[in-house]
Amino acid sequence: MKLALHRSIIFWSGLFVMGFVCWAWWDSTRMRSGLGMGHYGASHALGGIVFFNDPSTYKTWFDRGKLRKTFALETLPAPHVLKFDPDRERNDDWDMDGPENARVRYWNEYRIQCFMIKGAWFLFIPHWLILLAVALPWSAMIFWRSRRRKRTITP
Amino acid sequence: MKQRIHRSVTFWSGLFVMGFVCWAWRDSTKHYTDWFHRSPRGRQGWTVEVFNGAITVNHRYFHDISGALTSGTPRFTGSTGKFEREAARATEWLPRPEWTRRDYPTVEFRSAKIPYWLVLLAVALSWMGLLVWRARRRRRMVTPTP
Repeated sequence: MKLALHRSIIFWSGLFVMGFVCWAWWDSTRMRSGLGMGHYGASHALGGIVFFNDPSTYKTWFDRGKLRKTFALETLPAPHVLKFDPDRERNDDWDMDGPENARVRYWNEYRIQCFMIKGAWFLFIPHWLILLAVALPWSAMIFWRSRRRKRTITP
Repeated sequence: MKQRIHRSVTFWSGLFVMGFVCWAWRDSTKHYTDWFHRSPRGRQGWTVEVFNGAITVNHRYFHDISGALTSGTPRFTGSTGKFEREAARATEWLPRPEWTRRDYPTVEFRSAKIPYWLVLLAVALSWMGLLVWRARRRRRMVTPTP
């Protein structure tokens, strides 16, 4: 049986999802977008999505604007998890000036006014990781389909 | 012809809209909500604020003064679109309507404050007008005999 990829829903839906992720990735290099509810929020910028909990604010919000040029972009930023020391009220000695915390400083400046507060956490997922998480199962499913169809005898 | 007001779309949709307005009015005394949007180049910005029993809409427009001896034309930078809502303590719930217009050399400012009681009044009056019109129309109609 022929492969006939153009008749496969998996093929097209995968392309659609990956196209969207690529667009979002590109958008995140020039714009910042964010929304939040209560203490929780999510922001999209600098090549990924950040989820956070900021106990110092409580509001519902949406925000979109241009990214400032002062923040240098990494091509493939690493995933990042931060949790502030729960035994202390504030983590003032946290090395915010280190190059690995440029992203934290960025979020701190834009959305999270008092991110150093007790109970705050921060999770950054880069877009290349999301793309990989879609592309791998997608290619596996396409491969599986091709094998299944090869075994089927055309009537 | 019988009036049968419970079969009227006007009647129910009016009740629904007024219910929503009442909720929004009450909410404006408990929360501060605002929307902001600016033009791509930042020359103009619109803000809608809901607080203290009123909806305030304002518009700012920055004049092009790049020819003047200043350090550049003032404009909106930062967010292109924004929504914010948080708990706030209101100081009034029955404000007066206001219309503000200010012209500065660099910026034109327009603002309209529409109190919720005025919105409710406008909806209620047009609703009642429509219902009265309907009642008169139906009264004139002859019920067909079976």
